[in-house]
Amino acid sequence: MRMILFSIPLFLSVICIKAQTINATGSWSVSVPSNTISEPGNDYDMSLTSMANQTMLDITMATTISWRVDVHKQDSFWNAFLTLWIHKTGDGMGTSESSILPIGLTPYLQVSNLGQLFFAGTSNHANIPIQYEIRGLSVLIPASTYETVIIYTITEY
Amino acid sequence: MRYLFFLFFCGYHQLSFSQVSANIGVTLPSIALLDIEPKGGMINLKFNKPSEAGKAIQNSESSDITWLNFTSALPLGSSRYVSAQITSGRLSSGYGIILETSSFTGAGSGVLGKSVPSVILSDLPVRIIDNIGGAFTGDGINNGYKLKFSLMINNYSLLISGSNFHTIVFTLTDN
Repeated sequence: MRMILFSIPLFLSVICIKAQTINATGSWSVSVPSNTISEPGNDYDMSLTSMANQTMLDITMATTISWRVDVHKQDSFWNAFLTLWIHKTGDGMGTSESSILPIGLTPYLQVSNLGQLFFAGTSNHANIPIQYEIRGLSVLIPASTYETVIIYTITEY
Repeated sequence: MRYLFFLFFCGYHQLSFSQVSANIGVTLPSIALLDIEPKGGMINLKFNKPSEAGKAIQNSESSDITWLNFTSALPLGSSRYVSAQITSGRLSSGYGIILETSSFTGAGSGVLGKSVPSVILSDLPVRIIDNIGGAFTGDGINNGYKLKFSLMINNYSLLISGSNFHTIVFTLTDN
């Protein structure tokens, strides 16, 4: 009996882990053109913005249970003056049972190294378009290639 | 026992999650931009006539209306310098051109370097600002390094009346 009681939660946990998946298609790599500054004496006066659908997220749920997507970054080689911003530019395609909040275009959210709520919903959603923006460009930042990884975490609740 | 099982299940249920990642990369280029403000201006220098026959030419009119602006972006641990040299117009050995470079002033920021207060220009490059890192001076007059040009007499016997034109080139170079 004890063995059975121990096995049931373990079995359920396996089901839970497989109950939802999230997939991302599309990374973003960008170079600042060297002729961006036209007048000597000036700093950059710009941000870098990706395509509106630079990354597409697909969320697959086994049930109509609610979920949330959190986002954070893990820096490979980054500079603290550079800030990375993200927003959802649409809702993708859902089913008749699905929902997503906030609806449509969301304000830019600064991505930090700590997870924070990005958006939430229920049931399946495909092709949720994600756009990125990098701010804080300056010639004071050493010339180099900076890299980070954005991590999307989907959690049932 | 049922209660414990419920708690255990809920714990597993709320921890149920999946993750996916996307790579983000940005490349910032090396930049070296330099100019003189105001643009296109001619710097006029001349010796003053002595007020009395027999007196020497001692002072010359100088020009301090010129500003040097630059933008510099470079890899960590690197630095640059600004040099000046006369590239056209043969300099008589009777006189020389002195360039005085002020300390930085203006709206810029960064590792703006250190100026050499006074140099004598020639057809060889001479450093006037050293140890420049990632920096921008701000654009236009009253930003950057103010340049003051003046004449000096080396040898009276070699002075010839007339006008001479010289081109002075400023270069921002990697150390």
